Amino acid sequence: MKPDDITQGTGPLPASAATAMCCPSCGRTIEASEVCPYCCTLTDPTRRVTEKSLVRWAVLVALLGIGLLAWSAFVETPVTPVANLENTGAFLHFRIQGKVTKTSYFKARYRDADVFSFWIDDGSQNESSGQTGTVKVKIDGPVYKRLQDDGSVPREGDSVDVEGTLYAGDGFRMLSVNTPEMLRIAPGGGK
Amino acid sequence: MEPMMILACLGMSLAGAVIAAAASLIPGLHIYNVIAITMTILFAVEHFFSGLDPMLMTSFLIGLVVGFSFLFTITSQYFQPCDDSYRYVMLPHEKFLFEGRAHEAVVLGSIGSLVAIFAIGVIFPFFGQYAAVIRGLVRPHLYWIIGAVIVFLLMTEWPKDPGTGPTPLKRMLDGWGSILMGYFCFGMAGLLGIFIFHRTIIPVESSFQSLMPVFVGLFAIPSQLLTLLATVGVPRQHVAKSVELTGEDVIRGGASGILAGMVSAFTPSLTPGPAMLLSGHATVTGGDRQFIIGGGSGRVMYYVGTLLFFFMPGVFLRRGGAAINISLFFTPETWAQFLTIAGLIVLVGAIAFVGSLGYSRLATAIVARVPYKWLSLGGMAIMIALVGWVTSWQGLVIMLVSTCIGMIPNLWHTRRINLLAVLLVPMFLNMWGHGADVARWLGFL
Repeated sequence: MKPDDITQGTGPLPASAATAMCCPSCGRTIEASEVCPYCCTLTDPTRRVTEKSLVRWAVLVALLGIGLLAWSAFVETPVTPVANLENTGAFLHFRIQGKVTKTSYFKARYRDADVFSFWIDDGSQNESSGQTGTVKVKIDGPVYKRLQDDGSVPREGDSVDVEGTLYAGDGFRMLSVNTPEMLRIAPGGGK
Repeated sequence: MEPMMILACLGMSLAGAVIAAAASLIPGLHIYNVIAITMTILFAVEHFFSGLDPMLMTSFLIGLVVGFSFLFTITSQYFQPCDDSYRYVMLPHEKFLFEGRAHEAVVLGSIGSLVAIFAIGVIFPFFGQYAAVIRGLVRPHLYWIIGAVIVFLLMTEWPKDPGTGPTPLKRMLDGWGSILMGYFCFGMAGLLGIFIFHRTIIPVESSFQSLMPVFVGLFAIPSQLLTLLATVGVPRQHVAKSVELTGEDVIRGGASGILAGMVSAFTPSLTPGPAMLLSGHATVTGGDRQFIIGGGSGRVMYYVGTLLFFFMPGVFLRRGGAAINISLFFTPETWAQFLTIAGLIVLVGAIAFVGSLGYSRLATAIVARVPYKWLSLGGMAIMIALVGWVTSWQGLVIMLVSTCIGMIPNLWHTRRINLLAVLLVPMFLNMWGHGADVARWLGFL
């Protein structure tokens, strides 16, 4: 037997060996034993987990992922009364519904990003904070261009459903729409 | 979110995972290097992507990160054997390689990764909102937490010499030699970090990748160089159809990794390495299997779980290179977007787990046919070229300096974890409020 065969465990077994087996971990030929003398792992199949069962675990995890994706298809942002949009909600995402009361267009001078704004009133009133149901909504740059292409720019009197990021501080509140899909106009509206 | 949009996002994620699998064949290449290339290409053809929904590109990067976090260590395990003539500690997966059990090590690591993916899918959508509370609690204390981590790293350095010198003085010098070189390495890496944070020479157009040459130099290139110098052979590998595993291994290893990932998510500059060192002590993990499972779990929790916090409404925790790069073109907003990203992570993660079993077989076949030195040489050439392409000659200079520092732990038997001072020291000083003062005193400002 060559020395390398001894190290690798690939040489012939001694005559005293009752039975021979292949270590399921390192693959060396060993005498039948509960523990491999080379890598010290347990050879009993009941103490080991097969790749097939691991793949089954992975399938269960994949089902969890599919469940989350399905959930995302149904989840909607709850509607918040405009009067309840306060400073504490700054930089959070909100959804509001109401009528467009005024529109405004500002052509940017130094960059290719026109700004379109409109005001929404949902008639709500918050007596504790004194907030009214009117808020400014801003759409700029590429989002405004895509709304123009789709004929979905809101007009005065339209009923709209808007989602966006709230920017709020002392004396100002504004909702910024970041994608065209976040603005939905009731049938018959838009230009 | 629209079902067709979700399917499109899934397709992009799977495409990202496939790209990650191809890139993972290069040993030592880091996920953030691949994202750097992707972003550079993206900016070059910005007009092409401007009409696309940013969720699609985001999904692609998510697939890239998930695929990479499962696969990128596999080739390193096979192609970078540990030569004990320059390494004092042989890690468990390196030991497995020499026992012909590298595939088993890969399977154990992937089990840890799968545990982390499962935890992400179950915990984050239902309890994730508490992350904002934890962040609020931890934020004012971060500077001293990072300081405590630094103290822990320095205190846990130990003499690597066996103490066989002929005189007490010689034995003392031998013992202190590796400890002092560890502290020297920590100091040099810290100095480099202060320089990079306050006066980097990287061109401004590449500044979003200013840390790339540093990390390639500190970690990747020294590993490749030492692989080229190694004289050990990789024995024939056995593809095990089963692994020795207990529930305790999965729970303890997985939990230590998840804890490490969470700690590093909320503590800037704390990467999975030192976080695993801390959590390993805290959870008293033991044995090779728990170590490897914890490593896989911590890696995924850090790269993927932390990234998911960026999409969580009310949290928006932007931590790590992937989140920073995604934030350049996408602002997450809604729960639907968050759930879509979470679903993609879990689904692609489960697919990547199955893929890792085949990937390991591929690595087994490659290492049996191609000399690992050629693979390291090729990987090193690719990484140097990438650093030069993304960060210009200035990046190459920084990479060269970083490589010199990165060689210290290998040549003097100290721990490579000291190199993370490159992040820990400047972040600690900046959060303490004295970063600029120290940089000014050093002449960097």
